[in-house]
Formats: sequence, structure tokens, C-alpha cells
Amino acid sequence: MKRGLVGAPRRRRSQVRVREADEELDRAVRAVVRAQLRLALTTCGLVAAVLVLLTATFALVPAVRAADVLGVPLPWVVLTIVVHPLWFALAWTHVRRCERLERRLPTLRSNGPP
Amino acid sequence: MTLVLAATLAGIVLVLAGSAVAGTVRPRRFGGASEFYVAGRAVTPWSNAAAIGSEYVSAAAFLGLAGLVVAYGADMLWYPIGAAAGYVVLIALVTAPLRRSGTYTLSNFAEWRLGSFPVRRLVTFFVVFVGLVYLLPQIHGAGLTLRLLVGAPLWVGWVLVCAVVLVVSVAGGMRSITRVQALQFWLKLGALVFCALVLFFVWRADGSPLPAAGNVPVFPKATEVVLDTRTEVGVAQRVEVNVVGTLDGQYYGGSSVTLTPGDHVFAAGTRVMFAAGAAVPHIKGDDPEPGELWATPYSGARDDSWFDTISVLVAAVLGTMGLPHVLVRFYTNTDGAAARRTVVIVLGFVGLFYLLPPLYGVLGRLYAPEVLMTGRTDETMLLLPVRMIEGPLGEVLAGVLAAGAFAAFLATSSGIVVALAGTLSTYLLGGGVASFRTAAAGVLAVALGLAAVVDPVGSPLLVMLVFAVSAATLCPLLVLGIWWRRLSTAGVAAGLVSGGGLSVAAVILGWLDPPWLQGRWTSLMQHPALITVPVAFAVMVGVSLLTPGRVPPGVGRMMALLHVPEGRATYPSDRSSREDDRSP
Amino acid sequence: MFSRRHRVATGVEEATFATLHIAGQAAPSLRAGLTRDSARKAGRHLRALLGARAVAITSDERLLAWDGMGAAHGEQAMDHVRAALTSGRTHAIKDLTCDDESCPIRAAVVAPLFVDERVVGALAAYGEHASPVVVRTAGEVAGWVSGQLELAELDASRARALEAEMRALRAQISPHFVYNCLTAIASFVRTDPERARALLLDFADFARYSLRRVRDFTTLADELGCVDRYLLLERARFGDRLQFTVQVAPEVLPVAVPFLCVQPLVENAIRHGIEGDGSGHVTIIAKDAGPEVHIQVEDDGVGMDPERLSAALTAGTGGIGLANVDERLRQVYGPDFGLAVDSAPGRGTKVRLRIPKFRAGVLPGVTLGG
Repeated sequence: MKRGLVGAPRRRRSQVRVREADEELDRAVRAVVRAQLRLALTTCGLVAAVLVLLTATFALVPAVRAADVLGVPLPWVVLTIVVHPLWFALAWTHVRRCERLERRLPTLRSNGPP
Repeated sequence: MTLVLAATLAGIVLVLAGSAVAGTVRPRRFGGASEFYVAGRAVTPWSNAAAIGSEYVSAAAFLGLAGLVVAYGADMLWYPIGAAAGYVVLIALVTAPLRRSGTYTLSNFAEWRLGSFPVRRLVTFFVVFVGLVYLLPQIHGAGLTLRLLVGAPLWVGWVLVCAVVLVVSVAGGMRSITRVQALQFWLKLGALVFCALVLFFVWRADGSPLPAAGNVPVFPKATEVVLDTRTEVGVAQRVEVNVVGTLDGQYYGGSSVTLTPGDHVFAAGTRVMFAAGAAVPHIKGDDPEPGELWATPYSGARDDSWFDTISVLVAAVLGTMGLPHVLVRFYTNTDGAAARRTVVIVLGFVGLFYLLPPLYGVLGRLYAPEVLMTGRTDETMLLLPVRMIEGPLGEVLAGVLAAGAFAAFLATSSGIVVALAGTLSTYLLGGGVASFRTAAAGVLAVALGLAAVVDPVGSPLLVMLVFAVSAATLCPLLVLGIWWRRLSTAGVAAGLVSGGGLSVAAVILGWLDPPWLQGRWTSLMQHPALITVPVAFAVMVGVSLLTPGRVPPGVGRMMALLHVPEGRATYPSDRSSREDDRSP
Repeated sequence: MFSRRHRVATGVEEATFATLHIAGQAAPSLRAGLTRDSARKAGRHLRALLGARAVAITSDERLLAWDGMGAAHGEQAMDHVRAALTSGRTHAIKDLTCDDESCPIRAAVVAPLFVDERVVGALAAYGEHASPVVVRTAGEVAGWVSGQLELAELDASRARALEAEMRALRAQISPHFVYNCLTAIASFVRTDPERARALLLDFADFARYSLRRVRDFTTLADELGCVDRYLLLERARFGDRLQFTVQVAPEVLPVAVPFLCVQPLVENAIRHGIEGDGSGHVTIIAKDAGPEVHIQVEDDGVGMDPERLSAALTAGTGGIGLANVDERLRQVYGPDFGLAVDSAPGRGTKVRLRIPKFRAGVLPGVTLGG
């Protein structure tokens, strides 16, 4: 608030420097958000793909619906035993990739006003 | 049944006593040793995950899913798939950023991210709506369980569960809620797994019959069914029964009657005796699928059920984001990464848990098919042990399951009430202990009123409504709020109103089912998420682009806070110390 | 509403209303201090107030804003105001030349602007004449503007004072405490060197936390960690005469709290607890209460009578003190969130504080991109 007070040319110069530094920081943040978003969308896309594939297969291919695995209907096996571990694996992979990304991230510094 | 009751009571006492011990934060008297006690006490992802699991594994999942599987079979397996997938999406899009924002409730998030008072109020409205409706099945479930155990009227169970939840959520205080919930989770999972294993081996000993064998479910042995209320049933195959009471307006005193295919009406209080191998009549209006159709997905009467399934999945996957009692738990984690790990563990727990209801459902179809006649499919799990195992062991198992069910009602309800009361007391009543208690009591009173108005049979429909509304309102708010810089307050308001309004309108229309609404449209109205969610996103994005002036200031900083991990942002001390030293 | 008694305002009254109205419009921008932005916003209103053709507002070095016609004159504005800036008096300049024949600006009245008796800029009113009335008006308006600028300076200095207090607070470890700690540690050096070493490390940790320059907020975990070190150090000094009980619900550890909001309460409790019979028991409890955290620090010491209590809450008696914590809590969370103190002579003292889990802008330490 006091920043613009009269007779402080030194301060004004430092403000300009701050703005440039902030733009640099902003670019870095944008890159981080993009990288995180890419991971997130990949995972969401995989989830959607699994769901669409599963429902479509069961709906459009009657043979799959009727198939048996060790006397248990295939849809029951897939829907109760196979899919949940698949979700877990997807989530686990996502977390691993996120943490790797975040570990590699340089520390972002701001030279903004204190 | 007295043994069942005794076992239930013992189970509940065990749960509560165990909770009390686990929840007490032990006072630490200082000795001489230098020990950094604080760090060692932080809530670990494991215990927070168990707590989330405990609050999430609700009555609807505990009893409702098994009941749905009994009636509708394979098609119902999509619900748990969708609900679990919701957690994957939650991890990918929401968890870590939400924790990093430092906000406690969704309303806090709206306030922080958008800073607009009207938007915050709108969000609070939807949060409360979702939470209240999600409370209903819990209250109804408690009523059903108590009715089955002691024959008490439904409202006794409702009032009981609300009273206990009020005490639990208001007492708070000294106890570590997380540890209580975590312990309850293990008790519940233990009870469920133990009973499932016992029943599984009984089934094996019985020669592993499969439900797909017969065309229509049959009574495995001679069974007497007591109908408490007037019941209309549809009969598919001729069946010989003995009736004590009124059938189709005529009184029978225990004589043999042949039920011909078609509809029949039993008066309240009628007892019906079926012989072993008799086909089970089905309650009218609720057409459970016979044999082959039951065992395979997409084989019901409707051809377009693929479309429905996708729509249900969209609601389940994206609606999970709006469950208030799950979101507030992230705050307990130390940072974003810990919150993310927590949800992965939750996903493991939930996947493990979801193995069980289908098992109970299949066994229910074999051993307790009378629920198809009474229409009380929610009772399946609690009936199974008594039907499958003669004598005290069956009753004790039933008691254990009932205790577990009660623990589930209590955990979910108190989780929701704490989250809602926290939201309401902050934004409506000005905060503080008294307003938190007032809000908790108010939420429970409204929920109790709703429970009395809404028919328990309608509560699965309501749960679907909740997920649809949550997916079309709170999900776009969270996803766009976290990932999109150009989100404006006007866009959020427009998206919330259009998404929420459309969902509610569609579900009400589907429920009324006017004659001009036909075929595919009816089912679309019942599961509107496939339409409403994209509309809500489109409106939110479109209006935001049209109103760039309403984008809140400081978005860049918020994005940095949300997505740059804690500790990777500079602490201002790193530089201000040098600057300060120079200044006079 | 429109009763017959409604009087038509007289000319003088109307003029007063109009003047006050214009002044009221100019005031908010001037309260932000003298900047290009505030000068530009206030310029229009000041010109109306002065009834001048054009108005220039300058700092002591450059033109900040020109409002009105003849902006070409703006280039010479600094030359016009120089005399006023150096003398600190109102000056009138006649016979201004202009290339444009139709330009009505022929004279200027320049009045200096003061803050704290120091000239910080000037207000120049341009018009056809520089009549004595215009000179007087300009002087009055400049005086009013100076008043507003003084208020702005007051706002800023109040903020600076708080910041300075915060800084002083961070640096504040009571010299007595340092002395007592070091004496206690020294007493262990021969008898129990292992413990002496551990205590020295505790002291270093405590000092590092107390002196760090992270902004205003920290997590409750860190704050309680500091309390932990502090208790160990006090324990070394008092031995078994001092007993502690600490109960913390793990859910509340990640909550953001104002820096050093619990440690001063503990310091206070120990001082009062040990007073009297020379031994005492201090209890620290942090519990989860839905959207808030409730923290309680209790001692079983001599207690305080109401007078001493209110004295302790108004002006701290050495150390950081309850008053300071109370003031900062109110400042951050609002008037409802101050300390609640229960005490009576002989009954001990119980200090309670409530902290909301979320408050916009309150995050522990992290700041990015200003």
C-alpha cells in the first residue's frame, strides 16, 4: 500500500524486477499444473476406457455374457474379482507417477515483496 | 430370536467399548526422555484410510447392495464398480490439490477459490442437500434392522440412531475420531468376512448349488412367510401353499391353496407356508429377474440398458467427489501426498469389501428367497445365517451381522452430520461450540423428518439422485476450480443452478413417469447423469468464458498452492531475512 | 415521505452540500496515499472543488496527474510548482504563455501538500486569473488534501507498527529464560553429560523455531513441537516440582495456527503454576471440535483475581504475554476468537483458545508469487 509513496525511486525499480521474477515463477507454475493435469487426465481416460470397454463388451457380445470360468459366469468373475484390483493398480500407478513428478520438481522461488 | 438380540447387543457394546478405548487420547506425563511426541502422533494414511472406509461403507453398501443382487443379479454389480472407480478419479483430480488448499469443507473451498458470497451459499446449499439425502438410507436401514430383530416399529430405529449420532458428534472432544472410525472399520470388515466365510463353507457342505440352475428361485426347504403388511405378489409358476389369513379377499384357516400364475393379494398378518422346492412368488412392481436373466448382465426386459449402465456409472464415478464426509477427512492428513496415499489405501479396502455383498446376494437368492416375496430385500444378509444354519450358531452370526450393520449406520451418519454441521455452523450460525451443536441437532431433525415422509423403498432411488446431483454440481465445481484458471463466479453459479436443477427435474419426472414419457426417455430421466453432467460442465465453462471480468483475482497464486507440492514453494524467510537486515 | 415541511435548501446550504459531496468522493482515493493512481482519481473531484479549468497534482519530483484542459501545460507543471515546493507556501503565477490563442489558461495557483510538516507534493489550480479568492480556496483545499494524506500515512504506519511488533515478537525469548536454561544445562554437564547434550539440542531447536522468520502462520504440530522443547527445558530447571500432562487429538495437528500462539500460554501457566508453593501441574489439551480446534492450557497455581487478570489481558507483563496472543488471534480470526481465561485466587488459571480449521488467507508458511 505504501509502495508508491512519493520520493522512492529505488523502490519503483525493485518493483519492476519483482514483476519480471513473478512472470518467470508463473510460467514455472503453469508448467507444473500442465504436467499434473496430463497425469490426471491419463488416469481418468484409462478409467473411462475400462468402463466403456467392459459395458460395451457385455452389451454387444452375448457370447462373453454367457461364458463360464470354473462354473462361475464370466461377468461375475470380472465384475467382482478382476475390476477392483485393476482400479487399485491404476490408482497406485497414478500416485507413483505423481510422486516421481513432484520429487523431480525444482523448488520454486518468488522474489515478490515480503 | 432372543439369542440374535443378545448377540447384537453384545456386538454393539463391544464396538462402543472398543471405540472408547481407541478414541481416548492418552495423556502423556513428562518424564526425562527427550521425545518428539507430536510427529509420532500425526494421523497416518493407513488409519485415516480405515476411517474413510468406515464412514464410506454405509448401510446402503452393507445391506442394500446384497439385497439388490438378490433381486436383480449381475446388473447390480456395476454400482460397486462405479463407486470404486470414483475413488480413482478422486485421486487423479481432487485429493492432493484439495488438501493443499487447506480448506476443510467444500464451502470453504468455494470461498477460498472464488471469494463470492452468493456462490458460497449456493455450494453450501448443494452440500447440505447431498448430505441430507445421503443420511436417509442410513436412518431407514437402522429402522429396518431393529424391526427385523425385535419387531419394533420403524421409527424406533430412526430415533435411536439419530439420538446416538447426536451424542457422538456433539461429544467429539477428547476422543480421536479417526482412531474410533478406524477400529470400527476393522470390526465391521472382520464381522462381514467371518460370517461370509462361515456361510461359504455351509454352502460348500450343502453341495454348492448354483442359483442359475432353476428358472425361478425356489424355497430350499419348507418355509413359513409372515406378511406384516398387505402384499401384492405376481406368481409365475403354479404353486401349492398353505395359508392362514386372507388371500384375494377370502379367509383361509390353514388349508391348501393353489396359486395360479397371475397376481394375488395377501392381507396384512397372513402366514403362508411353502413346501421345499416351491417357486417363490415375486412382489408386484418389483420384477426380479428369473434364472438366466438374473445371472447375466443386460439380459433384462430393456434392450437399451447399456445406455442406462453408462449413465449410472457416470453418476457413481463423479458423484463420489461430492460426499461431504469423505472430503473433510483429507484435512486430517499432513499434506497432499499423504492424502493421495490415503485414498489409494481406501480403494484397496473398498475393493476388498465389495467382494462380499455379491456373495451374500447369491446366497440370499438360494437360501432366503422369501425376501423377493416380501420385497424387503435389505433384510437378506441378516436373515441368511438363521436360514442357513440351524440353532444358536446361526443366531449368533445374525447378531454379529446386525451389530456390524448398526455400527455402519452410526459411522456414516455421524461422519455426514459432523461435516454438515461444520459447514452450516461456519456459514449460517457464526461458528463456535454452541452453533456446531445447534447445527448438528438441526441436521438430524430435518433428516428424521425426511425419513418419516419418504418411503424406505424409495431410498435407493434417492441415493441415485444424490449421486446424480453431486456429479452435476459439486464435481464440475471441484474439477474446474482445481484445474482451470479462467473459471468465473458467474460461470460457477450458472453451472451449479443448471446442473442441479436439471438433475432434480429429471429424477422427479422419471419418478412421476407421465404417460407421454416413453421407453428410453423414462430410464434416461431416472439416470440423468449422462446428460446433466456434460451440460453442467459446458454451462460452467461457457459462462466463465463470457464473463472474464468475474474471474476472481489471485488465480495464479491459488494454482501454485494447489499444484506445487508443499515444501517446494519458497518460504519467504529465505530471502526476506537478507532484505530486512539491510533495511533501517 | 414528501411532507410539506420539507424545506427547499438555501443557496448557501446547497453549496455546502455540493462541496462536502465532492470532497467525500475524493477522500477514498487520497486515503491510499499520494500515487499516480490516487492523484488521477482524485484530480477530477479536486478540480470541481476548486472550480478551476485544470488541476495538476505533483509529488516533490514529478507530475502525478493533470486533470482538465490544456494538458500541454503539464510539461511545465514541475517548473510552476518548484517555488511552492521549496518555500512551503502558496504561490500564484500570472502571465502564463501559451501557443494556443484560445487556451484560457493564463494563471496558476500552487499550494504545497504536507505530511508530518514535510512537503511531499503540490496542488496546482489553473485558470484565467489568480484572484485572492482562488488563492485562498487553493490553500484550503491543499490543507484538506494534506489532512487526508496524513491519515493515509497513519494507516500505513499502523500496519508497519504491527509488522514491527510481529518481528519483535519472533525475536523475543526472555533473557531470563535463556539464562535459566543455560544454568540448568550447565548443572548437568558433569553429572549427566548425555542429558546436557540432549538439552542443548532442545534449546537449539527451540531457539531456531522461536527466531525463524516464516510469515505469521505455522502448523499446530510445529507449534506443539516448540512447546515440547520448551517443557523439556523447563523441566530440566524445575525438576520434579513441575508436572505436565499433554493431550492432543492427532486430527488437529495439521491445522494452521498463528505463530507462537500456544507457547506463551504455557510459559504463563508455568510462571503462575510454580508461584506460591513452588510446585505445580500444567495441563495442555488440544481437541477436535468439528470446524474448530480447541486448545486449553491449565495450571493449578495461585490463580489471579479479576483485576490482575484484566491487567494481564490488557498489557503483557514481560515475555510475549497473554495480551499479545489475544490481540493477534482477534486480528486474524475476528473479535469472537480471543482468549477465554478462567481464574480465581487459589484456583489456578485456565486459558482456552479456539482456532477455526479454515480461514481464507491463513496457510502455514507457504507463499508464492506475492
